Amino acid sequence: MDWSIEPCGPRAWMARFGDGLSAEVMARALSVSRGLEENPPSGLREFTMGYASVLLEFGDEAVPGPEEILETLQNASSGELPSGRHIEIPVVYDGDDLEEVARRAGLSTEGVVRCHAGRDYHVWLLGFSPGFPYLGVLDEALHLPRRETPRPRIAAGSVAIAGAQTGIYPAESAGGWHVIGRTSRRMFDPGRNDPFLLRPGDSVRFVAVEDGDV
Amino acid sequence: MFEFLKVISPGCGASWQDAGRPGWKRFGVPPGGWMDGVAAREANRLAGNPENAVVMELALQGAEFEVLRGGWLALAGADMGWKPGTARRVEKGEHLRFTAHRHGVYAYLAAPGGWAAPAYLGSASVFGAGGLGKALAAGDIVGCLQDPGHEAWAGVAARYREAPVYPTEIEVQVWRGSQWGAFSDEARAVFLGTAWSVSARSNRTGVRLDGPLLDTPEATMLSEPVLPGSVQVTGGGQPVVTLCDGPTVGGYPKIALLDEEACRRVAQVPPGGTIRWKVEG
Repeated sequence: MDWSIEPCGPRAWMARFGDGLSAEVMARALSVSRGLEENPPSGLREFTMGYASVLLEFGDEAVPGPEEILETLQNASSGELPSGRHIEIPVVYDGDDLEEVARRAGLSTEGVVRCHAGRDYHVWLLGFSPGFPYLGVLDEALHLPRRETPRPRIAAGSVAIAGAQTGIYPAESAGGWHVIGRTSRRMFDPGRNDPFLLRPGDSVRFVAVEDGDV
Repeated sequence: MFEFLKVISPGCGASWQDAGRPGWKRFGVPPGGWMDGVAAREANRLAGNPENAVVMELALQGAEFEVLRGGWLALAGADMGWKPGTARRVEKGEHLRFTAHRHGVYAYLAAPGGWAAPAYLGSASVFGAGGLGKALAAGDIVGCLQDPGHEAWAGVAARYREAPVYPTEIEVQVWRGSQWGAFSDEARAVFLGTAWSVSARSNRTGVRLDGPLLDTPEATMLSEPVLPGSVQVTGGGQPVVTLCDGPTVGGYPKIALLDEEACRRVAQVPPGGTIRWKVEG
């Protein structure tokens, strides 16, 4: 897909660069994100990544025009894919939705665990709530639409799946994803030197552990 | 810190706020900050503070405090029984009750030097759902950075300014949202033709609007960045004006977008009040 750009009010631009969850779109998102961190256009107050989109917000100075923004983004995305860290996340697979996920996927619960823990994921973006990692891409066998009725309360540390994505809830919140397990690793801690455990571009592997080990 | 007040009840909500924490949205941290920056800065001016000092934001009604030492306080924003736009001296042992609900939603209490509140990621704005500080609770003792009883503050009482009365019915200019074109003609006509009622389930993450349910576009969206002021339409068809504690990315279609001034006006409409939209151009 080509780039497109639209104004969001007078001081922000939304640019889009893909229409599906593919490795290619993810690579673009990661290089855009790194490019904007390293060479932000002048006056940029902040940017926010989506899967295949980026929002650029400007401060009180002059806001660059669309051509200038597109050129900046295209340059940013032509850079090499940043190499992130590799992080292992221990998970107790005992989530409330594990059995339902297994049933709908036509797998045993052990099969779901093997499938989920059996590959490396990339942190595509952080969003929704502080430190919430959107990880891709999930094994197709586990792709399920979101729950019809979101759960009013999902515990901090819950490991969940929805569509082609998997993620970890950093704090207790409502949510519509299917919870399959939990981890004791804290995604976000404002008191830590680096408050965020994961960054876009990091690779993650879930490691199944027993309750006592987590 | 100069201990000043004891919280008897936070009422519908009391929290520290300042101008917020821009720059962290790409880590999932919403910008936060006061719901009504004009009123919050006015409270700081009345207290003789720098305009971005930390204020206490009170929601709707019900907050109650005991004064621990004599000193000066200023209030602006909603009218909860203390005339907004004024500073006055309170005395030790006095009980301050913000139990009336005359107009508006958010009121700002400013104390000399600003309130002493912990900062997270560069801002004292409380975002409890994300672990950034805590809303005030009964029993908390709160204080400010300068001696509130100092005679120098006596002069601030003269700084009364005519304060706005927040209406319960407003009309707001909006831009078309990113997915405006994906909504049916009928959904757009209903959106613009309805006097929407502000839901009691509104809060700092968003103002929910009660009224007819809108038909939503069939195609599902990839999650994308959400600008505060975006009017998202949930799966059930209810419009929600996303405010500055709202999620940084989301997958609901956005029918409209409000600017900061419009967000501030919308935030000050109490539950049951009505909002009409008119689209630019």
